[in-house]
Amino acid sequence: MFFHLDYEEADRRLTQIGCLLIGPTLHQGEGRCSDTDQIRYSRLSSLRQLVWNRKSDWSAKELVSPQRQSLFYFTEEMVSEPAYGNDLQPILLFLRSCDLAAFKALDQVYLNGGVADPYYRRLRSRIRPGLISCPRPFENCFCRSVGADGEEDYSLAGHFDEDGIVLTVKNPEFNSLSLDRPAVDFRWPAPESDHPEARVELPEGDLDSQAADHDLWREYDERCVACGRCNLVCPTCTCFTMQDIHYRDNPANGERRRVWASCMIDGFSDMAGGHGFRGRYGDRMRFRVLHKIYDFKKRHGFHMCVGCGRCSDVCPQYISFTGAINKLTAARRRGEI
Amino acid sequence: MTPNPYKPEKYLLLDISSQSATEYTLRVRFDRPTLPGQFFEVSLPKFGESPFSVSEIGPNYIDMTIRNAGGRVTPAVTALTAGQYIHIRGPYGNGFDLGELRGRPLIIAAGGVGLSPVKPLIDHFQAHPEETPDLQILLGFKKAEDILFRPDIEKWRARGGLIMSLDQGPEDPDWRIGLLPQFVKETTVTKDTAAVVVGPPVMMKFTIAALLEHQVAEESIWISQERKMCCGLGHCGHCKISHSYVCLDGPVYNYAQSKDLFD
Repeated sequence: MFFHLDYEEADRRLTQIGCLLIGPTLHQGEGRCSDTDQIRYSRLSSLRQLVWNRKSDWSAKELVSPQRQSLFYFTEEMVSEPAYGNDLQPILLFLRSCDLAAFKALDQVYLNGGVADPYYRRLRSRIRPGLISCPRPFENCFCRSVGADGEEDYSLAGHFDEDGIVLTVKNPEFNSLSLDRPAVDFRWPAPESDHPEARVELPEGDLDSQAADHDLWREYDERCVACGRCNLVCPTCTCFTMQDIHYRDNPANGERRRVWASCMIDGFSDMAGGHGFRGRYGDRMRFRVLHKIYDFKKRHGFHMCVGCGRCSDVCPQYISFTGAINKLTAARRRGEI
Repeated sequence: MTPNPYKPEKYLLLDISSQSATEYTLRVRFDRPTLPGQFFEVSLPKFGESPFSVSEIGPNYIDMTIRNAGGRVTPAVTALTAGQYIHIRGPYGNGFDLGELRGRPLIIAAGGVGLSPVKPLIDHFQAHPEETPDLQILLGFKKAEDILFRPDIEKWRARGGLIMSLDQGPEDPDWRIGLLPQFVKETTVTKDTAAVVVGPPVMMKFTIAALLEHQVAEESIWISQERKMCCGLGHCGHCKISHSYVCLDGPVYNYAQSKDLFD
């Protein structure tokens, strides 16, 4: 059942439920070029602040996998875990189908793939996903090609426009939103679709080292500058590096953190003996592309890539992720790999 | 509540001995079950954490052989002295499946620091000669200064079946000069022979090629991979090869099952 709330009423009812509201918001002048804005996930004091008609530059992954996360504090010889206060208030997180699908990949890595990660689990337990509709496919979007459209694992779904929100609720925690509201006749403007210029066809069948050795990756040796932006904006990149520090004013104390790592940046695979893998940038590109659209599925049964297109949006060298996939598929069709 | 898998525990350092100019062996009091080929995340709080394979498994201790690589962790760890403490979590990884190897003629080829992860396996079959009809060991180091585990090698030599080589001279009556793969053809191979190859990627590639040419079956070759492993839990992503995580599925792989994986 769908029902309508104007922004004031929605804010009032959500305040009573008592969760934090987080969604894509506009940060004026904080874009990566001068006089441009940035849209990223941050706290909303009113749903009116939510940017529903543009793509966010950053994904929501920082809420569950922060750029820098303290794992332990070291005090002299003692190792202690961070003490958590009452910071487990639920978060109603408004996000699009692609970013919601990304949580499935994150869950797979952190909770289901190996040993469950307690730090991730704690942050993840706060999240109540609120799906928002896409008014149109944005530039570089291809969620449908990778099956990340039409995600249904949400607490509530809302279609935003100038007047308010048309909502449907799945999670009983939010039942009071619909109290006394009549059902409205509404068709969810989904499933989301691909941008006509970003449509991809994924390679079929098994790929072997021929796919790695193919000449198509050599283009990226020249074009890629190994800056790692694509990894950082990716909603499903989860790699991290452990880092110990001691405090400058008291070297006996310190902490162990994990910080985001990037398979595109130098040093990602370097070992103590100095040996590393994938020296050529094109090989790093291949490693990333195949992880997103091949390796992950082989291990976990679904694609890691959710088709948000942010890697293409953000690349300073204008490298198109969909372009790389389509080249790979074309090479397969030609029987070269 | 389940324990935090990232939390390291404090263990007593029983001994630290120098193996070569840059390699040290740490002996740590440890009594939980550990398999040859497994590894630990070793840390010195405030300096960092790094993965190290176990180089000897004793009744109440484990050894780990560590190269002082000049980063943040290894110089601090190798500067420790007996009686101090070290933080450890693990063991991680699959380790060698002794069940697959028992009863078969074995060729174990180790190059350089690759001897460290495979040494517990050699130790095992040296201690249980009844478990293999034939144990042939190929050891290769770059030069004489790099030779590790000299006292152990002396013991193995006494039993025979050992080919020792250095990539570069000077001539030494005990050590032959040449790259390890070229000595593979001197081994005896039967249809049951199993081989274990551990070393730098190039050494493994050419040693495997030589073993295959020498009629060792693909399915009878095992390797151990070395990768950067920041977590050991399948989360950090650094050790991924194709769809496999070395920390979870490896570091020991059957060659036939892993030859199609690529970095």
